[in-house]
Amino acid sequence: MRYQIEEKYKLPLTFKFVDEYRAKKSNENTEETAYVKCEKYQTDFLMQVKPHKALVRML
Amino acid sequence: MILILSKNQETTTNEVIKWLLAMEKKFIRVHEDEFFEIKTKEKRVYIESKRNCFFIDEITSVWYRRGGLKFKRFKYDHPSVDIHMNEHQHWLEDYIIKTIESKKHINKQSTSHVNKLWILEQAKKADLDVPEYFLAEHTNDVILNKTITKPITGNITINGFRDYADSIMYTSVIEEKEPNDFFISFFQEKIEKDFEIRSFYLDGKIYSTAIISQNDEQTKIDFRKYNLEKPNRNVRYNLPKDVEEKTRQLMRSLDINCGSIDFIKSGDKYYFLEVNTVGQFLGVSTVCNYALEKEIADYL
Amino acid sequence: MRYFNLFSDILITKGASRILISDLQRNVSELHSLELHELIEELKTSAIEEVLGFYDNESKEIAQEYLDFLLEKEYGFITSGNWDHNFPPLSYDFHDYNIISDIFIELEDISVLNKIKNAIINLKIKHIVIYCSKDLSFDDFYEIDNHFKDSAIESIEIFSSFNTNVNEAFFQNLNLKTARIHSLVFYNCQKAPFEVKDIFRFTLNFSDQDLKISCCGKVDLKYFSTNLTKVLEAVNHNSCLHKKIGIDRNGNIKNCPAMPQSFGNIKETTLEEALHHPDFKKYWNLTKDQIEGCKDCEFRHVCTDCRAYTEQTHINKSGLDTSKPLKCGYSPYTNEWEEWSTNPLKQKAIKEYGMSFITELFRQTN
Repeated sequence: MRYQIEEKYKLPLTFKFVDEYRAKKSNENTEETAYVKCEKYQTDFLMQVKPHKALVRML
Repeated sequence: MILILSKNQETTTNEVIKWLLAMEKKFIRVHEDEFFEIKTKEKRVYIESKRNCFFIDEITSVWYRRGGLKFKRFKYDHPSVDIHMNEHQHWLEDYIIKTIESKKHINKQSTSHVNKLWILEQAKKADLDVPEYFLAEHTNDVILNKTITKPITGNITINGFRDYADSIMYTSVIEEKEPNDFFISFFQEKIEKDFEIRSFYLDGKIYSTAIISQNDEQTKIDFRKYNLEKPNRNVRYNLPKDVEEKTRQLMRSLDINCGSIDFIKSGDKYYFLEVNTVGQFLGVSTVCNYALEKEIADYL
Repeated sequence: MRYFNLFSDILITKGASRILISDLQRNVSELHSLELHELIEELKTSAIEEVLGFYDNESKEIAQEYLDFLLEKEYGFITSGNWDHNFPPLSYDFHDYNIISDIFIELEDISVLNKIKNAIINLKIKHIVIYCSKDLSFDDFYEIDNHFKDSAIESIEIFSSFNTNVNEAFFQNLNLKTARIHSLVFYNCQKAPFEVKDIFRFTLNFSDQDLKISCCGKVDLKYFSTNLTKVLEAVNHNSCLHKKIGIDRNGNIKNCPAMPQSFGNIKETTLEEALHHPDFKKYWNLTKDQIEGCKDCEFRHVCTDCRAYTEQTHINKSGLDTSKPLKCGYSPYTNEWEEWSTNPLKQKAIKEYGMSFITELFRQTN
C-alpha cells in the first residue's frame, strides 16, 4: 500500500513513493521470528533457528 | 580483546560471535543504549558503563557494526564552567575514539556514516561508471520514465507515522511531472539493467552476488522489494578485475574497509550505485555460501 | 550462437534412473528424467543451436520444450556469443562453528541434564532432542526448558508418553513459560485431547504409536528437506551422525542412542572425553555416495541417513557399515516405494535388531 504523508513544510519527492514495509500487526498465528536471551552472545535477541533437517525420524 | 560496537538486537553480530567463540577469541559487545564514563586506574584509562568495563589498552581490534561508543556528559551549573567542561570532556572522548580507531578495525565510527552524494563524486573520481545525477526542487529537467528518485539518507524507513504500518522508500521511477516545487530531491538516470550486483568488501577482498530480478515486475526497480513467492536468484558473481580495482580505490579513498556496494550491470557496463556500511549482508552471503560471518571473525 | 547457463544454486543429483533438481535458493526439489539431465550436460559444452542440431526433428521439439521448461523455472539463463564466465560455481564447502550441533538423549531421569548441561554448552550444541519413555509432567517440561535458560541452545524437541492431564490449558501455560521447546510429540495417545491449531510457538503432535528409540531411522519423503545447509552437509558428511552425540537410557555416550558402541558412561566420562575417542567420529564423513543403494539414489542429498539400523550387508575396508538404511523402502532402480518391514531381503536384519514385531504389526494392520 502506498501512503500519503503530509507535513507543514515541503518534503522530497521520495515521500510520494512511500510503501508499506511490514504488515501492520501480522496475524498472531503466523510464524513470527522467535528470540531468546543468550548470555554467551551478550544479547537478548538470539534468533531461534529450527534445525535444517529432521533430527530424528520416528513417526 | 575484541571490541564490538553493535546493538542488542542484531543477528549478524550474533553470527560473528558464534565464530569468535569457536575460535576462542575474547570479545566485548557494546549495545546501543550504553553510556560510558571515562576513568583511570594506575595511569591507565578505562571506560565503564552499566554492562561493560574495560581498559582501552586491552582492546586489540574493533568491529564497528552499528550504534557507537557513547559517553555520559556532565552538565555544569555555571555557563562558562559548562563551556569549558564540555570541551574538556569532548577531547577526552575524542581521545578514546581516536585511540580505538587506531587499532586494527572493521569500519570506524567516524567514517562509517557515508554521504551518498559525496560518494558518487568519489566513485566518478575512481573512474567507476556512475549514472548521471542531479539535485532539484522541481521536475523541469526530469526525463519522464528515464529518471529515478531515491532517498539520500542511510535510513530509508518511516516508522510509526500516525497509524500507518512501518514504511519504506524504495527507488522509484518518475512517471509524471510535478506541478509544484518540493524539498530538494535526488534524481538519477534510470539504467536498464540486466541485473544488480551486491558486492561485500572486506579489507580489499570482494565477494559479489548477482541479484537476478529482471523477470519480475515487482523487483525490477528495487530488489529490496522482495517477492516472497518466487525470490530473486542470488548467485555468486565475479566482477571484472578492473571494476574490482576501481572499487578498492574508492573504498580506500573513503577510508572504509568494510561495506556492501551496489552495482547495476547493463550490457558491458557496471554502474556504481552506492556503498552501505551498516547494511545486512548475511542474506546474500548465505545463499552464495561465502561464510562472511567467519571471514569477519577471522579478521578480528 | 546462444548458450545456456545453469544457475550455480541449482544442484542436480543423478540417480540410477531419474534426477533430482534441487533449487537451493527456493528450497524445493523436483524429479525429472535422465533425458533432461543429458540435455543439461550437453548444454554445458555446446551452444544451444549445436545441441538442438544433434537431434532429429521430433526430438528437437522435445529438447526445445525442455529448454523452455528450464527457463520458465529460472534454473538458468541464456547468453549470446559465449557462456557468462563471470558466474563462478557455488562452493560446496560446509561451514559450521560448533563442535557438536545436536544431542539425542534417551531420558529416564531429568537429573541427568544437570550432569551434562555444562558439556552441552561447551560443545556449542544448538539443538536438543529428548526421548522419554515415561510421561513427563508440566514441571518436567518446564524444568527441561529452564535448564537452558539464557543459553545458546536454539531448539528443544521432546517425545513423551501421553497422559490424560495433558490438555489445551497445559500447552497454553507451557507456551507462556518456556522459550526453547520447538516440538512436542506425545505417543501412546489413542485420541488427541483437543484439536491442534497452530497457535503455539512449538509444533504439537499426538501419535497412537508406542514409540521407542528403535522407531527412529525412517526414510520417507516427509523427512526430505531441501535447503543449502542440509544439502551441503549431506554432500560432505554423514547426514545423520555428523556432529551428533547420543546418550542412551543407561547413560552410555554414543553416536546415537540406538547404536551399540559406547564411548563411556556419563557417570565417569564427560561428553568432551567421549568425543576424543578415536572411533567417535568414524561415521562423520561417510556420505551417501559410499552407501549401498543410496549412492545410486537421486534423493541422496535431501535424505537423512541412518547408521543405527541398516540392511547389514556391506562393511567397507575401514570396518564401517555401508549398507543401505534398513527402514528405506525406496528403490532408485525401479523408482518405487515399498513397505520396508515386509521386504523379504530385510528380514534377516530385522530379526537381528529384534524388530520382528514391527513386521508382524504391519501385516496385522494391513
